[in-house]
Amino acid sequence: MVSSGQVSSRKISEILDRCAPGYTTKDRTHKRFVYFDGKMAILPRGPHGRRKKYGVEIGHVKQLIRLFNIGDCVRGNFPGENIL
Amino acid sequence: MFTTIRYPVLFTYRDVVIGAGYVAHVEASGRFVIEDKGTGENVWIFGVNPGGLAAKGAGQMEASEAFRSSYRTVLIDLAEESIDFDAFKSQVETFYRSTCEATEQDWQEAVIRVRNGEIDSDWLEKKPAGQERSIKVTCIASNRPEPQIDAKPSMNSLSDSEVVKALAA
Repeated sequence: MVSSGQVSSRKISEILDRCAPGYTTKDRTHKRFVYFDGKMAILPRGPHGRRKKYGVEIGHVKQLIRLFNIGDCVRGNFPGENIL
Repeated sequence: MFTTIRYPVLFTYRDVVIGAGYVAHVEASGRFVIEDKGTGENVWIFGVNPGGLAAKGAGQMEASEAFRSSYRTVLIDLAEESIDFDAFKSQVETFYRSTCEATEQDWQEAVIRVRNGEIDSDWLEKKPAGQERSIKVTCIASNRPEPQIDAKPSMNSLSDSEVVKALAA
């Protein structure tokens, strides 16, 4: 269940697959690390740690998109998401 | 009509982090932007260095505390995944040096607005915006060349004082 103001983990994966080819992720105890283009973005883990599907608050996703400089790609391919 | 206000902030964080066979001191002088949309909802903080980190809170203080806490948990996670001090140092430097250029632009624009007196920032301590930004990761204790300490990442806590207690135990 994803609340308002959140982006589903599945949608984040779709965004990264489309706009950050070659990205990698590592799930650690507290955070999810996303690596792309020599940079490291940090996302929170799900509320119950190991849940595969969860929502991430939009500010974290916005920062990831801005850090990876993929805003144009996200706007072009996910026009309904209104993240940025 | 709500107006978004952004505040430019310089910070210095000092942390002691326990890794596999080492204890590291991490001192980071970085930047972030506090973004308040004026809606009465959450305030967000977006990092410039480190640029991969964001946090929110009910107000500026709560958001700042959330950013600080989140930063420390990243260091602890990096210690857990790093096989030795050199790997930890490299990961922390990558984390810190991941500059968010878009947020840096927001930061620079906010500095100009502060200088012009366009935003009320009396609650912020004033420092020169050009202050040096740096990351220093130092090994302060190690098991090499021979075992001297029983250090492992599971000894980390969210506060440095708890780490010191763990090392003293």
